[in-house]
Amino acid sequence: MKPTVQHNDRREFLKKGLGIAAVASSVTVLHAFQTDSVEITGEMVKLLSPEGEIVEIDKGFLKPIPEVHISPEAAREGIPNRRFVMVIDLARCKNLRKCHDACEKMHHCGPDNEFLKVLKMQDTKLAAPYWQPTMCFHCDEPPCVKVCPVDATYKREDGIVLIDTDRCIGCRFCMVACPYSARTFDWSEPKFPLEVAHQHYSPETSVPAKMGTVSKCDFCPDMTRKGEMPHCVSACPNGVFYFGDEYEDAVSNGEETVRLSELLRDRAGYRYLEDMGTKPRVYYLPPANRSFPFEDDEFTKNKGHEHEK
Amino acid sequence: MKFITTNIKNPWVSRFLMATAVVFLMAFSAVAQTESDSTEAEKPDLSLEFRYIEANNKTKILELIAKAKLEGIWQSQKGIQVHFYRDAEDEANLLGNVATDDHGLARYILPEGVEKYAGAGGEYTFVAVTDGTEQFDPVSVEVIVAESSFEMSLSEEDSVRQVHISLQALDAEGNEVPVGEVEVHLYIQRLFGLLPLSEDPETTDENGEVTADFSTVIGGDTAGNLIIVAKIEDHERFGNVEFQRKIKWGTPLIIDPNLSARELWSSRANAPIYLIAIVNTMLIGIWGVILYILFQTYKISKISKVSTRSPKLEKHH
Amino acid sequence: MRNKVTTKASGDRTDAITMDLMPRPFGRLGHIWVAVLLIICAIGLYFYIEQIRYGLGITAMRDYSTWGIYIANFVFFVAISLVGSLMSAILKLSGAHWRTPLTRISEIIAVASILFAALVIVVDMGRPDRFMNVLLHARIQSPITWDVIVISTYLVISLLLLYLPLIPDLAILRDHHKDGSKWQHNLYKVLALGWSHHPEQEKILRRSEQILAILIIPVAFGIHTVTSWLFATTLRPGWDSNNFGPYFISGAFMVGAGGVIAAMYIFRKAYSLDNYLTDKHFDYMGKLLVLLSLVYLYFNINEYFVPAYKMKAAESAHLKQLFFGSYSPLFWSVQIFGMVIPILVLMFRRGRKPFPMFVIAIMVIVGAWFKRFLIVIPTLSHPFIPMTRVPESWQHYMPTFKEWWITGSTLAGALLIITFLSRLFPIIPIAETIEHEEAARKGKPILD
Ligand code: SF4
Ligand code: SF4
Repeated sequence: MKPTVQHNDRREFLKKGLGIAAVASSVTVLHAFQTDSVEITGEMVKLLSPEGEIVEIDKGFLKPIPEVHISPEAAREGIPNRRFVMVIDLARCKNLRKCHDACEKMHHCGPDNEFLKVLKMQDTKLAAPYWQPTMCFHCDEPPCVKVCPVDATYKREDGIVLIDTDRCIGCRFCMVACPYSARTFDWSEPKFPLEVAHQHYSPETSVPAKMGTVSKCDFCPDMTRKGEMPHCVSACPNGVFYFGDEYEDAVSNGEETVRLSELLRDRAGYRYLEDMGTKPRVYYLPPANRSFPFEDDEFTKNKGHEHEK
Repeated sequence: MKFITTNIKNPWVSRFLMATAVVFLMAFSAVAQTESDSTEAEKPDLSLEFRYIEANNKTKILELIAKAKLEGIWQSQKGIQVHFYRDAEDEANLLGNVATDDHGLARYILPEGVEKYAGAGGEYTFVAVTDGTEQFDPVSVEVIVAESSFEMSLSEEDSVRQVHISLQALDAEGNEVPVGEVEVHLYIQRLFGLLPLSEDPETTDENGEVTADFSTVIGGDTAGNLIIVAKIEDHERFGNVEFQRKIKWGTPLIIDPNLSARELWSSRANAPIYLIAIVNTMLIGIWGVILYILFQTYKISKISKVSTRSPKLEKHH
Repeated sequence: MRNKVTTKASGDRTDAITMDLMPRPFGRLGHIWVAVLLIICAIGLYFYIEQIRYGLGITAMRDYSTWGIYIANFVFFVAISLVGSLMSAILKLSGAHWRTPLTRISEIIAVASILFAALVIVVDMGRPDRFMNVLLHARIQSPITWDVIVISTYLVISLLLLYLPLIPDLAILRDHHKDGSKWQHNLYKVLALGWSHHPEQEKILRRSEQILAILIIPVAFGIHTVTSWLFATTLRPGWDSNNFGPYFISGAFMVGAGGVIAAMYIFRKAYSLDNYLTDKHFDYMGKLLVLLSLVYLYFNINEYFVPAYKMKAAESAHLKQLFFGSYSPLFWSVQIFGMVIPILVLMFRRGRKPFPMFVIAIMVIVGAWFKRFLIVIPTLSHPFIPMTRVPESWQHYMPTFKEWWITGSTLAGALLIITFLSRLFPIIPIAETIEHEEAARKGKPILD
């Protein structure tokens, strides 16, 4: 993708008072060598570099960060030098379902196509029940990807498993292959508000979904590309979700950033159904030492034990 | 595309959102409570988080986050016009106007030369005022901070890596003096936040200095670069002051070679060789025979043209 | 008349056989039968168009029960198609000459059902419009790709196995079939490939048939093993089994034999073929069916007893539902009426008379269909992560009326193809029968 300077956007940002303020968040600087596509204006602008230095550059180098649309082909590549990983702290989950709501809102997936579920779990009769958020675990050896006949679902270099609903033939083999029931299918024409329906489809947003194809949690690569965390992670007020880059050995829940290896070591992190051999990229921290009692919600109240191992 | 992601991995948004609240002032909502005849319910309060940030001794930033509790949930407020002033709300003192973004954040980088407005001890007063909207009344908040000189240097000698910090500020007479007893936090910049180097913050000594060993073994980028960040957080006198440097103290990143392996879960282009071999051998073998049979049937039709005699007649003689 | 046979006695006999076995126009019953099937298919097609427009939502399948009776039906079709290889390959190679009159019937059943197996898979697809992706973007790691390869291969070989032995008959039809319409005659003429009983032609034909008979066996094992892998390669309780390949194959041979018996009975009645499809044939088929059923019983015991002995957590919910739970009435009926009773009845000589055999065959076929249902559906209601917060209807898959109808119409469609093929071509190989009769007269018994 060759960046080009877009004048109208530049004009827009100049409208905003002294201007520089908006620079850091809405504009990025081209690499100096990419002068071929730049028209030098002679007007200098002050910018804040990522290293925290003020630099002065020609306005011609300014390029607005577009709402980057990652095409289905480009989405196969993955975000370079990243390996996303999630840790879910079951000891903190109170079934507030903010993650679920944020996910549903941002992916327009609706109650019949939940990407993220919060389920009542109970390992044995004597152990206390707990709430467990589940979603696609972006397995490192994903059985769902193994079985796809048309490469519609694939594993990317950054660890994310995505679906190209422009390619999917709707055989649903991946759904039966996934032992975690992470995938959902659009059995009928999904209904969206107009602006969502007209949105450019990208596997990185999973929006808009298409009838007759599968979809699932996508780890919000559209957000991580912007350096922001997935919607569920930032929506949780209890810091249940940690998200980060395994290469950096750090995960963050929005409040604190910790070393992944230490967190998993000290809190006895585990992966769900490890013996399936799927190597999930989502880890759980056991629901031990909870400081709040388990409370049933309206769905689970009358159901007794949902899940006994 | 690369330039976007490389610049973005270190965005201001994530860097500063992590810090705990600096100045947290509740809205002056009652002031504008004039529409008593309105049938609408009372307007919700807009709460503003206003902080001053000084980065690498150069850049001074005003940052404001607008939130409101709507339907019991704190929500960031987008598109609120914020006017930043020095000293007091007055047209002459206007620094700039910024609208809040998706995260309710309005950031304003103070222009160079703002120092001339500082008091003798280097102190400033900044005021942020939001425009009233249909939903919220105007709110104004202020922050008082003092200028400081905060510096970090990194050294490596005999494979002992050290981080050195020095903090100085102006005294009442305007002389630069070291400041002791100030907590300094050391971090490593990570994708979604700052990873503390140690559990507890360091404290400056009477020379305004800190020296800390850096013994962490952690991954950097492909070249092994790390960004080390020193911060004074929420200080009552200095506000937020930070200094960061990039250095090759990390383990160079080696991409997991397993990713491009030929596996059952790889893409079609990376199918395991043995599988391709087996399937194709079987295909060629079986379809070869099928083609042979088809050729044989073709031969049958050819023979009839050679001989139209019915040999069956002789067969039984 | 080119191939008029010289010996007086055998010549009469040959003419008689030819006359007996010629395809005949439908009678009144035949017309009603075809009309009914056509109507069923037309309505099914209407529902399918609706499914294309409104999505698979018109079925009862939902996120957990994501495969339903379409897939069960697919497995059934694949299973029954195996009969072709059983009759024309395995029995041929093992030298069982009594199979001669049954080969055509079984090949027709095989071709019809494999065609519909392929069709049913398309019906099950969420995006049939993207069928070409299966070829354009084929991923060789996927069992579906293997299935596509093996099904198309099997279809081609089955067509050849139907066609090659038909060539001499087509020549007979070309020469003797006078009352058909012109296109029918032209069809025979083209398809007969100028067959003239040239020894060279006969040699080539016999050789090709022999090669095909050998070739189809691995492909037949392949098609049903790969189909079983669609399930066995997943981690689901009830499917996660090493036993699945042979289990499916033995079940397929059993239902295939059942299918041939039922068809034999109907054709014998419809075309009064008592002289050709004799009680002896039924008796042999009965014995064969007992044998195949016993093998299947063996694999069933393996399939259910071993996991039930261990009762691993994931399996136990599934097995308990089958043995004692909501699927138990169906499960036990299928096991008893579809397997145990047929075995018991066919053990006795009296049970191997045509009519009881027909009843048993129908039981076997219906049982086999529901057995596929029990293999495919209950497993999906036992995911590892509990199925909660879903509507009640998601938890108990009960196919919708339209889904049943579409499924039914594929069965009707297969019957329709069988009917048309039997209308067009002799249902019992004429040339081969003549050959055998002559061989028999010369002292070689046919039914041995
Ligand atoms: S959780 Fe399921 S859908 Fe996600 S990668 Fe693993 S197997 Fe695939
Ligand atoms: S449903 Fe789509 S993504 Fe899943 S296996 Fe089939 S083609 Fe692939």
